[in-house]
Amino acid sequence: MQRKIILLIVILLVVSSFWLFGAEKKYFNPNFQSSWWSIYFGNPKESEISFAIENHSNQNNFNWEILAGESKIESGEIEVLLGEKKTINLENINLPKEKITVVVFDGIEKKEIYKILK
Amino acid sequence: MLTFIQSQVLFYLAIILVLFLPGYFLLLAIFGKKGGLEKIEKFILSPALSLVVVDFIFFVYSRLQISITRSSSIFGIVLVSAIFLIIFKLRKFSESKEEKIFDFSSRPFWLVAVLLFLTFFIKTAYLTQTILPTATDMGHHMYWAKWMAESGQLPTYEGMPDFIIGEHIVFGIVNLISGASFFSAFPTVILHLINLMGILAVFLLVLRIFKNKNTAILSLLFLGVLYAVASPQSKFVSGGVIGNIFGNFLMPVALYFYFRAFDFFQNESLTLSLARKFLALAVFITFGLFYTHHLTAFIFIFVFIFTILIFLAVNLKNLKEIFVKIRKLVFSPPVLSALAIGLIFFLLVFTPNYIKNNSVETAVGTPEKITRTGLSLNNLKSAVGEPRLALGLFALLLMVLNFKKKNVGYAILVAWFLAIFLMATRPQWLLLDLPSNRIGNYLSYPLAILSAYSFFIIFSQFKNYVSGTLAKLTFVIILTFVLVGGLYDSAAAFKRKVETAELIQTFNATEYLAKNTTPTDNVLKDHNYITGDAWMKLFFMRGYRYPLSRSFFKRYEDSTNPREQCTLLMISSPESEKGQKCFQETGVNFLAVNPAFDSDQFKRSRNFDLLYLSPEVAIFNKTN
Repeated sequence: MQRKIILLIVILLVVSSFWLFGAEKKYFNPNFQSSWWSIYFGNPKESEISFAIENHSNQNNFNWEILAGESKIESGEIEVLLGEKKTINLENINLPKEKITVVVFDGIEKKEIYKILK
Repeated sequence: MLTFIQSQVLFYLAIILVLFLPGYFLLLAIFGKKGGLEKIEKFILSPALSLVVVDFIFFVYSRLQISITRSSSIFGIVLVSAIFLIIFKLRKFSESKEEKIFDFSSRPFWLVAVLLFLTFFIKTAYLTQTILPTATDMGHHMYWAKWMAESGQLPTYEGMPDFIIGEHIVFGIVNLISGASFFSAFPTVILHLINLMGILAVFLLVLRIFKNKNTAILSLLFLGVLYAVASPQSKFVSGGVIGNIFGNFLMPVALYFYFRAFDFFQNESLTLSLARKFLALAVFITFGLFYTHHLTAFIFIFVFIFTILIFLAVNLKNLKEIFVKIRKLVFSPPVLSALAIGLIFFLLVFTPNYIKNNSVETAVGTPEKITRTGLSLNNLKSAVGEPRLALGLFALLLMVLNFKKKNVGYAILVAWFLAIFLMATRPQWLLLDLPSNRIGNYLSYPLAILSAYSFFIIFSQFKNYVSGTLAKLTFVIILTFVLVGGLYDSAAAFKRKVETAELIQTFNATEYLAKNTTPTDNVLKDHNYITGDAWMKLFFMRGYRYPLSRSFFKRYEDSTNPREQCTLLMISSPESEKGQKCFQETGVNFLAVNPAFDSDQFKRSRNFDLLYLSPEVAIFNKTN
């Protein structure tokens, strides 16, 4: 009977930990029940404004604008599918020495990041 | 899927190697296959001994400056296990004449099976919702385990006395051997296993003390099934309160071995030779406890002293006989060897940090803080559960009335409860200056045992005095009171939402910071509004205090211990004079905050760029 109890404990331990690893794997999927996206500069320390959009939502089409102060100097559209990350390369654009804002809009929500060039 | 299965197989192999084989072969080398311990005892005690053996192996590595790598770890553990196995093969063992008490007939077996299933089920269900690495304590501990795995050395903790080596070795080694990520479920799973083994160790201890299967089975109900989630059970597992979880396994195991060693006062079939082996193992586990958690070790000292005092007090007439027996037991090669090995390791091979830093002195003194002046009865009720407290106190009365003087187990149980009860409720009597609620959590173990004892005594005796119907009715009422209290507590603890998206955003933002900064940059993050922020340091591995952290607001208002204010001001008032001075002094140039709470103060300034934005995390760069 002792063997049966030991076997039962081993089975319960294995099933329990297997289940927990499975749950962790499921939850750690960035696209699991998620509806968010992020934007960020590719080179945070440089005076250039290439940026990336990382999408973990069901919105796939993004409009973006580059503002120097209040004036729009560049704009575009990009498709970023669920789980994808895409970089908008703007290395060659001439930038004035002022606040440069990247505005991204997914049709519902707007996000802004900026650098103040000096 | 194949990768998942492969990683699982590697993980279980690592667990067997680190948490089973060394202890199991040590027990074989000492007792053989049929001496002193039954199969289930060997199975449950092996992980505790393995924890300590593995610790000692890596203390030797540290002393000899051997790098801790995957191959050297496997080699060390296999070598030591092989030595134990060879000793087992070479020695001749006599079969124990003790009665086998762990053979269950069909009905008790099924009761045990159901209780074990419920214990596992409730705990696993709760942990499923908390499995993601968000807990602050776990994050801090895993930093050191990762540091150990990456540097190949045992951590020195940058001089901090709050961390103890035994809390981290097993995680570092399992990571090295299995390759399991620190961000995976593996730290929680290991704590979960240790927590369950602790409950099973109590089951062994209870059955050995009372020699009564019903009481042992009831202890599974009171410790495993009821309050299965409350602190110090699965909430401590998910919270990464490693020291308590390990301590609540090692302490019952130590008490088990002490009980077995001193059981020869009442158990004539226990030979002196066997008792000495038990005492040697008790000493060995005690050293392991001191290498694992200072608070548990501190509590253990009190329990130990109280046990001696209670046992001697109830046996005043037989003191001479007792001391003769104790002398024969203690002054023996196995016990003295274990003591010598422990002391050599403690003093010469690897001394725990808290001893070097004299932190013991900080635990002794007159308590001043309100959190250290003792718990009220109401505090205790909420800490351990009303039914357990009521039944436990009643059990004390029953034990006093029915005290078996020669059974050291009775002294151990009363001491286990009484010492912790006084430490938690009347710390000033014992000159203790420790957080009372942390001590109070330890009461759940002795109270679960006492509850099981009183529950069994009440209903085995009650039916002799009252009618069958009344006895059954009372049984149902008390059982309902116990079950409702114990299970409701677990149900209330379940989370409604898993913080998946929040945590992934924290980790993504931290990856971005780690990739785009160097050690010359200094990062400040917020602990109040960012999920899983304590884990950010594992991405950088640039020191335990990197990145800096804005702590909980109340900590900056502690009048008894004035705190630095810079980590608060640099986020809350970055443009203030003091805030600017703090930036200059600390060199902080990157800040990670939750944009919903801490964005406007940076956006108003021309000194900060906003580099990264997700719903939960914004990263600002100070440019001036």
